[in-house]
Amino acid sequence: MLEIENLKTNFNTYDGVVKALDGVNLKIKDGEIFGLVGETGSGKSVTCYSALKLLPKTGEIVDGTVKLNGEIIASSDKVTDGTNYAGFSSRFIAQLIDSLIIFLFGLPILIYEIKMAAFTTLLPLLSILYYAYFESSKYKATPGKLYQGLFVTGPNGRLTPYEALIRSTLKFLSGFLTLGTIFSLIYFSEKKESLHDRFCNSHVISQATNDRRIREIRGGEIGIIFQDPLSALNPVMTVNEQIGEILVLHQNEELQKLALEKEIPTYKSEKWKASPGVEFTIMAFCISFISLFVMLGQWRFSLPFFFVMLMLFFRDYVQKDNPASALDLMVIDALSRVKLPNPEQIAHSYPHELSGGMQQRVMIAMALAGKAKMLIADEPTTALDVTIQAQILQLIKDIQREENMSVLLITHDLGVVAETCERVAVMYKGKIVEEASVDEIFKNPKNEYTKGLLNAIPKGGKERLKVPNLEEVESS
Amino acid sequence: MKEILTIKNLKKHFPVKNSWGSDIALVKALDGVDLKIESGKTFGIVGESGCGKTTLMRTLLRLVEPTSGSVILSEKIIGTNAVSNKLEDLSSEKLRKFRRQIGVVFQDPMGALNPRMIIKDIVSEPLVIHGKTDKIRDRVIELLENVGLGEEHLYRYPHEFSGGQRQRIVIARALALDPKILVLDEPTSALDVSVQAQILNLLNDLQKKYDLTYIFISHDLSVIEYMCDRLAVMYLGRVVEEADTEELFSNPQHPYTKALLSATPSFDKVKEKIMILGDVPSPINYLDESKAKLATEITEQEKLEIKAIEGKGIDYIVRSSLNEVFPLIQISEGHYARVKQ
Repeated sequence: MLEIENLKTNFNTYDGVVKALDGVNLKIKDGEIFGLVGETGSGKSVTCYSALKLLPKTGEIVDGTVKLNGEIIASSDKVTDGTNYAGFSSRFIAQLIDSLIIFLFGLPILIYEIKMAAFTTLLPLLSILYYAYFESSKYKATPGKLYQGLFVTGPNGRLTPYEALIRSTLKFLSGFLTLGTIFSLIYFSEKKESLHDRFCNSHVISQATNDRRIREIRGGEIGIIFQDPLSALNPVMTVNEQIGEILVLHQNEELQKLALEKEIPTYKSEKWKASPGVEFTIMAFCISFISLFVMLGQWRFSLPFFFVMLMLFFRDYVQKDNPASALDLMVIDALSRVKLPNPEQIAHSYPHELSGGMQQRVMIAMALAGKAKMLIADEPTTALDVTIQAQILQLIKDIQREENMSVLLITHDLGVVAETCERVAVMYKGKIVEEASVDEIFKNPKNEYTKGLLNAIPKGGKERLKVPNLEEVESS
Repeated sequence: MKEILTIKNLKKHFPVKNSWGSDIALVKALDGVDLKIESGKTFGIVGESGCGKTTLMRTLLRLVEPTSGSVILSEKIIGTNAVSNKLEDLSSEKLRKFRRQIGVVFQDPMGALNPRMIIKDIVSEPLVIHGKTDKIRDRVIELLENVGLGEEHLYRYPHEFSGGQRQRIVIARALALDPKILVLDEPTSALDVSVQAQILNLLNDLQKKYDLTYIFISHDLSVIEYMCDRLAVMYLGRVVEEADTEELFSNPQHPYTKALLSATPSFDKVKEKIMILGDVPSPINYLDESKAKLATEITEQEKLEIKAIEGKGIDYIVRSSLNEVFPLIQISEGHYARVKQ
């Protein structure tokens, strides 16, 4: 299932290079629970973060590959930026094209994303007519004669209708371009996916496809459970929204199918929900422009912005009437899979309203929501009580058996490993020092470090605990 | 055996207020705790988060005023010619002297150490506060050497130490005023196994050297079993079982203790599993009866069919949706544990 070959990860710090992983080899088979044990700083978490390309900027994979079902998902990321176009690097050209695209097509793209048909067609037309009317009225056209002003040549001192139309169109376009640039810059900075991913063909495109693939894998094929559920869950989003996000991203086809079968609305416009910042910024811009025009005494020009704001308000009212969407049903389904009592109620609560065990169950539901074939559990029970820990471990075991998926359990508690895992690897200083089945490692440990670790656990008796002697470990 | 502390029917109820400021419920953090803590021994307190361990510790130090009940102090702590030997009767001046007798080691050493103070200042702070300033540098070095650190660590900041060393510094500070009792609130839960072994060995050495009494709070039962002579299991603000460690581990009586012991991950796979279902009921007691039902609502059981049977210590049999049958043990009202052979 997951195959890690000779993985080496370095962290570049001011004090020099930290070799966090120093040649890790792991093979996790289909449908097994694999334990990865080690102390703080031994590189357990770095292994899983490198596999999913979640390393911070200072970390880089120097050597080795990570394969998921034979497909390489992470390898050493040395940039091969050799291609030049007339002395400019491909990255620079990509960025240039980026900014051009944003400048020219910013607002149309934005509008396309918003999918407001009325906005796209009506607003420019209305505004051009509007501006034309006021341009001609400046030169003493009476309101009732707008029609005349457009098609009939007026007397001296009046603007010809064509001139008025051209002037207003130019005015509108200049405003359109500047506003579009501002909007689109905000929009794309939030999306964090620059346009050259879509439009450029150089090494960037392969990088981009690779990035898109790894995004599919994260949360899709590989689900992750983090250590502290409260910091991994978003405190300002309900459980419903957080699981819904994953379902929309990874299981959109299933959603559509469910919606067709049961004849229920697919889902509320999740694109909007996922980025409330855009909504807020548009509102802020509208308000500021309205106030600007009102200050200048030209309140008429603020009417289009009122129109935008009204649409934003009404969108909410129109869409609130969907009682249960297909998305809601799927979220409830995902929550009941992790055996949470009354999932309907939990779906509408915020993370802080749940207890630690329930939060961890929600995390597991999130990890499974993308139809995960593999689950990485990074110290899933460290923050929990013993009794809750037993519940969560049992749940992971049950789900593993039901879905026949493979689980990589990262922990520092050897007892947890003994309870749940089939095979186990012991890590020390970025290397795997011993790998064996669970029974063998506890009965007959071969490595000095493993022996020391096992001896350090209090086991009933009152004799003095043996602390692992690291010098002995090093020498062996 | 001489008791150093006797806790009698100690209660601490925190009121829950609504937005108008009137009480709607009571959180019964401590609901009648009786304990006798012997001198020179280690007394363990086990329980889940929210069961009142920390509140008990805080009431022992009188950081929180108890609602009712009393803590009786022995002569060893308060001296022979005291007016009253009850903790709640102490005047503020006496209380200050009393607090010298109890040192506290908290769970997270990084949170307990001020990141902007050097180790010398951290360890000497209690000495300065209680006015024992003569030969302060020698005393600090002595304290650091006691816990396996030395003079070279005096002028460093907490972030320069590893987790185990930080915990040693916290222990050194707790010992600065020669306390008789040391309260250890999960001292090793943030540490790795090998470092945990070092700290536990150190604590055992110090206990022998200074004849200390430990109150050891933890949820790791293997550590508790190793360290403690006597043990109390807390559940929802009450002590549900109190016994000598060996007796409690070999022959647990209360269903919650049984569940706790069976939940601990261990190396032998063949043992009876008692799995607690759902969470511990909320300690909030509503004054209005209609709301009380909401608080103790059975959650997972709603889907299941419950039948009572007699004898065998098993209270119910439950048939799950998959038609599996398994016995249930009732721990408290609305809280059950499943027995799995």
